[in-house]
Amino acid sequence: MLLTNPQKSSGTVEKKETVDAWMTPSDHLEDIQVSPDGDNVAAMFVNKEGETQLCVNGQRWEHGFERLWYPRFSPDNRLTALAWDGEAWTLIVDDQVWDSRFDYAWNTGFSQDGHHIMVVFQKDGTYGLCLDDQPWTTSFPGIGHAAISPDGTRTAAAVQMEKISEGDIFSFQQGVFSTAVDGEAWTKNFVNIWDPVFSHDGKKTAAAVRLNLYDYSVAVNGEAWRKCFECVWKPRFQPDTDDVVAPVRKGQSWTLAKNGNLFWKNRFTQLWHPEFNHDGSKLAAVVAPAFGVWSVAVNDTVWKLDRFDAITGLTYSPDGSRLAAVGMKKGRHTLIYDGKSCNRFCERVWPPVFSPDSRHIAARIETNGRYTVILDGRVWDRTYDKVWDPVFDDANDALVIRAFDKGQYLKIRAPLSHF
Amino acid sequence: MTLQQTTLHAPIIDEGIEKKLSGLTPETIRTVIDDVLSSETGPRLKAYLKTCVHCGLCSDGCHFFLSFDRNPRYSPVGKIKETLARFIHDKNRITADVIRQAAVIAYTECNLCRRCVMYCPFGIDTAYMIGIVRRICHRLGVTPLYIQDTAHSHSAFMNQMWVKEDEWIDTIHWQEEDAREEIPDLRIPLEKEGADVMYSVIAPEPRFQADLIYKAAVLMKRAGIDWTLPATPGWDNSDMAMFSGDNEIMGRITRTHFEAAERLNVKKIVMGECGHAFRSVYDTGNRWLGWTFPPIPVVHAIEFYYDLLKTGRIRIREKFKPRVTFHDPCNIVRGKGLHEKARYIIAKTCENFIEMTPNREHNFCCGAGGGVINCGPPYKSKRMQASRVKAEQLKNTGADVVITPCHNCHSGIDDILHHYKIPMSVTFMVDILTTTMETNP
Repeated sequence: MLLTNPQKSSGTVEKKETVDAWMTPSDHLEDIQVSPDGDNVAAMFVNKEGETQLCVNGQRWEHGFERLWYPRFSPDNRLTALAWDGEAWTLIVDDQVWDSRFDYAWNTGFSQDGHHIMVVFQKDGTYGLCLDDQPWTTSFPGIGHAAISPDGTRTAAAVQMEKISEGDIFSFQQGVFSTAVDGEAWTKNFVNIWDPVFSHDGKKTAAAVRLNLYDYSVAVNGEAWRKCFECVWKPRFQPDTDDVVAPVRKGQSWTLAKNGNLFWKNRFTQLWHPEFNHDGSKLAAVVAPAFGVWSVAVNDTVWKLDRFDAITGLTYSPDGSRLAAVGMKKGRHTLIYDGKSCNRFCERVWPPVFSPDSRHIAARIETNGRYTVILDGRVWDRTYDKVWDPVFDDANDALVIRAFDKGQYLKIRAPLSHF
Repeated sequence: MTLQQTTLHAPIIDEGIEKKLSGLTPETIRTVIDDVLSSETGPRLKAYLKTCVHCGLCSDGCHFFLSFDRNPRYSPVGKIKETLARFIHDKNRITADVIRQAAVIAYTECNLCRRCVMYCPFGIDTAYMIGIVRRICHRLGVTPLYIQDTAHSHSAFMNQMWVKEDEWIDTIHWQEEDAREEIPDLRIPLEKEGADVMYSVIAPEPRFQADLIYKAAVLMKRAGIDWTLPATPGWDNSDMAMFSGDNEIMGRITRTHFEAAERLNVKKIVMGECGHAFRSVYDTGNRWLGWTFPPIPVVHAIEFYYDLLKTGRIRIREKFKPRVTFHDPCNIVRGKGLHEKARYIIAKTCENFIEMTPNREHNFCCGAGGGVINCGPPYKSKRMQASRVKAEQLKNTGADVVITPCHNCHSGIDDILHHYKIPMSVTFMVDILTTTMETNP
């Protein structure tokens, strides 16, 4: 049973765009995208000439392409899309086309503030990353796990250092993968590299590695920990110290290791997604204390929750004092936070969003086949065809609901008191 | 009808098996065996070993045993006696030669099909025990070259055929363009966050059988399904590491698949017509990771098609006329009991259905599953000989077409039809559905 406020309010509609009116019958609507601030709504059309075009708030962009895909707004509200002009791929940002041209480009990524934009590219059969229209000067036979530093000035990826023939298992086992940072590879190769991450100042990189078919470890700036494990997952840098922690499997159970040494005392059936809060004082992870039983552990203490089948979307509040996630049980979702379950289950819940003052938690939800938002356990009284993640205003007194309903995009300011 | 057995297969030199053998000492071998048995097995294995009374009733469950003229070497209990039982009882006398033989038996003479479990009075799961033998062989580095290469591909690119990320996306774009010539407003949505369904396939589809993605898209369009494919790793649901014995990579593959679905926050995953991938996602890989059941509901294509027909989301225009038979894939029939749903789909779409005998959970394996076909061309001749009973079973139906909703079964049966010169073609269920359904429901 979901609670709603009997004092119904539809909030203040601050923006309305009739997206359906932008179309002519020959157009074909692709996915609608909405900017984080809710002020821009973009749709992709195939125009009468067969070109694909983007249209923002009813204004068509000047540039049309043989193919556009993956339209995405950056955190600073710029609209990007990958574009194919019939000869090469590039990126278009707010209707400005990058100079760089590739045989393929994909996986657009952004720095946390959105000021820097990255894509993965393939050119002449070799691979690299391109940051702010500047491609790596070195490219590689293979690439994966692209990453961007927190300030957005550096990029890294797992790269294949040499071509090997399919079926050449022995060369593979010698190690042909490394991590490249800004196009420059670590000096050592590994059998596998997964999930490179940057330190908070962007000066160091760490990644999960496989030294041979059996020994897993974490490498920091190319140097593997001195200890090996049965398996490892994605590492994390501690914000205040640059120590590296990672989930490790030892003796058929999982725990956390720091700089190669076992760090947490508890042992788990599973442990992944370790996350530090902003000052490093808290370290949380999704854990399975027993087979099929999922919870969250904070500083090695497990939340005492009802049994969950899975947990995702671990999110800290801005001040780092609170933690929330999405719990799944029998195919239904709920929010869990501060060690407790919200116990309001619905079809789907998206990762939680905290208010700037860390006091409130909101999320996008699907209930009875319609979409709306939930705030501190209370559901907004209107539902829509689609909603995007809610956004708190800076004053902490209203929630911006970005919704699409009956062909119209709506930006709604909903006072928190109206929930 | 009995088909003639051809000559016995010649000795096979597999570099993947041979290369590490020379460096193995009895001490190394013992250490690995003891470690696997003590840390990765428990009461289940002990119960099986203590319960088996060597009655041999499992033998008639095995297509290897039957196809090789009831040679006890190929009986399930015989395979365990030559592998795991020796590992346990022969203490320090396990040589490299024993490991070679064990690897050949475990990887190429057992499809892990679990048919023999049906005939064991105690329900002993021989496939589980052969899986332990494969795990030990993997830990010793003694693995057939072709399947090891596939496991490497999984580890590096999270798909079984070295498909690069751009190649996957390009294939989807290309299939969408082709499909739009038939249906102008058709989409193959990539990265549609919040879609109801994530559709996942296995790597041979973008590599060799991209028309299957096209057909799936047509089906989704006609049924009005809100669906997507991931553009990131996780699109491939297959898992040959599960069969090579590399459990750690198996878990990583399954995690990548589910985390793609979690990132897109879909309601469910619909898997294409693959059996072994279903086993990994629904049973083996998810449980290695600690999930009792998949964290996001997973349905096999057969369940999906059944629901579409049952709910009227797709309707059949005209039934398929040729005589068809149905091969029940082990991993979705003995693995999840989807045989009646498959027959419902056939009854709705085909006019002339002929059951093969035996059928449903008693059906014979195609001979390709369990990673056997992935051990590559060196073993094809043996695989064909081991499929004689399957060939007879197929031929006895007199059907024109055999439908099977599994990639391994499809490839394995295709090989059998050619080898035994059976005038029959093999097809996927989606081929039948897209041929027979109404185009404007």
